[in-house]
Amino acid sequence: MISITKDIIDQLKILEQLKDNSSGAVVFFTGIVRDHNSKEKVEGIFYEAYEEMVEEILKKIEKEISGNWNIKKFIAIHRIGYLKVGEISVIVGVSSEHRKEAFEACSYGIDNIKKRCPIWKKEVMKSGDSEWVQGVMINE
Amino acid sequence: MNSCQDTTLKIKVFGIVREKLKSDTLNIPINNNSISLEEIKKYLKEFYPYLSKNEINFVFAVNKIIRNENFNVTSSDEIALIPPISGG
Repeated sequence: MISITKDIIDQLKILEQLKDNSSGAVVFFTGIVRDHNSKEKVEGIFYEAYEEMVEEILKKIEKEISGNWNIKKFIAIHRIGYLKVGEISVIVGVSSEHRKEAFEACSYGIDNIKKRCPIWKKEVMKSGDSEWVQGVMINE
Repeated sequence: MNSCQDTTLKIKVFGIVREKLKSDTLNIPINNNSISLEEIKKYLKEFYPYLSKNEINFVFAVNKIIRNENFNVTSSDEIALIPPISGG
């Protein structure tokens, strides 16, 4: 399951969706809004996406993972809109028979979301200022 | 670009570019069936001074696929300007 959502991401619900009686491992990466950047305190982050393209790229990443690792289930969800400190912005979850492939597939999933998905974030500081995060050129 | 303008290309914009240009779509008049992304970039930099600043870098997606600047597009294509990304 892959998606872009404006809703709160429920990690426990996703764990239940990933569980499978033939899987001995579930690995998650969970991205969370941090309360600071390198310069000042952060109150929240506004996320924006080219949603249709992100969905296409997530499908490709899912296909690459299924082709390269023997996994049972894959879930990748990125949230958009305004998120407060402590809220989950992105989650990647993988279930597999053994832990090694779940760790590797999960790591590949989040690395590629960050490199390839057209998503942007703007940090809103405690001071009231806000700033778009500089980012990297898309590598798709 | 010739003076006869009979078609409009719509370019989706996001993030800092959308905010600076105060619009989520940029319109480009063209008079041929197709135009290269290189020509679009040149036009945008001429008409939107913000995009000609050295610190602003961007590429284009055509129908949700990143294309290089010699790729040609028509008004039926979905074109998006992609500045540096920062998801996660």
